[in-house]
Amino acid sequence: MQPDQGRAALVGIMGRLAVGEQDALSELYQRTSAKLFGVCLRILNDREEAEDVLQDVYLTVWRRADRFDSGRASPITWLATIARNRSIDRLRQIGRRGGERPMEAAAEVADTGPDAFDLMADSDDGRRLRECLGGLDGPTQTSIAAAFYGGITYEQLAERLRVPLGTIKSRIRRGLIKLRECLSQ
Amino acid sequence: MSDLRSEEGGEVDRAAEYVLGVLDGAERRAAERLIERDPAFAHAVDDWNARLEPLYEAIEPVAPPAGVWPRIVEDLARMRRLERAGASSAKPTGRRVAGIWQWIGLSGMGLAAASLAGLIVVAGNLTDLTDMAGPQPDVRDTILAGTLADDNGQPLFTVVFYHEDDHDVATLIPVSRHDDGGRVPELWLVPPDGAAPRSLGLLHASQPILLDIADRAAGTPDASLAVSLEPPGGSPTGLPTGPVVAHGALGTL
Repeated sequence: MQPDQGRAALVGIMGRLAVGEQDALSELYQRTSAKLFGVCLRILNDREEAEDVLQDVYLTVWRRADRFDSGRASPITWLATIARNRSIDRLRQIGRRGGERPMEAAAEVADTGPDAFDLMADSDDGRRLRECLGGLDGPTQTSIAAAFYGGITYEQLAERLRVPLGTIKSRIRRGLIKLRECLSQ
Repeated sequence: MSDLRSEEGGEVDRAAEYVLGVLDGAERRAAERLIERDPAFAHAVDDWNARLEPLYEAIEPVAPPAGVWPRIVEDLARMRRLERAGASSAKPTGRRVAGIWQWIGLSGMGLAAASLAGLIVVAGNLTDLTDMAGPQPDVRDTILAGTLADDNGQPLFTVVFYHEDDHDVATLIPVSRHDDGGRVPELWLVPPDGAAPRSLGLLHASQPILLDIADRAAGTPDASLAVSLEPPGGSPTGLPTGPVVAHGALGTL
């Protein structure tokens, strides 16, 4: 996601955060907030909600920096995962309150097709994932993209892609198994 | 493990579904509990996060509005004020008390700040129990603390409860070493009416731990807590199965 020197700098910042150095949070914010805000915005599709979640994400990072293990994840993936998970949690809360997003969001989700995959960088991992996703049939690719970028449940996916719930579940589950097999080769 | 058979007859990779984000709220919380309890599942989640990592590359960065960072700084400052308030033993109030474990470390409970760097955050939400809790007094601005001691009065854990956002958070700090014979300490809420103890989560014998508490009855003054020793992964029955090694009550600071 970032050049290697960016990764090394972020690992250093994470280490300083883990011992409670507040200046490190400011540096981390400067380097990563646009990426993480992009992630929140993509999932939530609402600027105010995304701003709230972004604020929450950095406070979470401040508290949990000691859990970051550079041997198991790159810093930006770890951060993006927190941003996406927090956004999905917020999305579920909004759903529970009945404040469902307007239906125009549905079209956008459905549009998140395989084209999104073309935007992946030409890193080795990116190329491999693109190849493996490319080996799936079109509807499965679309469903997995809509799920990842929409952060929505099977039920909502079925509704928005206008396919039966059982179909979307088995399609995605089969796709994930195939993806895992392809990527382990 | 993460693989099971679905009603559709296909293989289900729960870790993959969690990472992809298709689970509903309750299923997500169940998966997050599993991440804390089952290292194999946690590993499977890490693996899926790594597999799907390139998908983030297709998300365009968007500069957040200038107002967000000052709000983060404000929140951090509020945490720091609470740390100082705690250190001077005034009664801290406020909703965001996330840095509280730091002042615990600073206020002479015998832990160096460095060892708090090993703090583990456990998403041990017990939402299935919240309905049993019934209406509770508003305790969101109250910080509760207590000591869990063995039968000889030797303190084993210091516990602090506070309210954060829309749930309670408990910090459990081991204050003396004890031999647990390969078993893990598990925290229980002991209802005053003689009902069955309710698990609040697993503790660590030598590291501070932060528990998200969904059981509103736990964060109330005079709540009675106990620690039992259980097999790795926690009590298999949902009730304490091992010896109670420590107990105590919460009180206001």
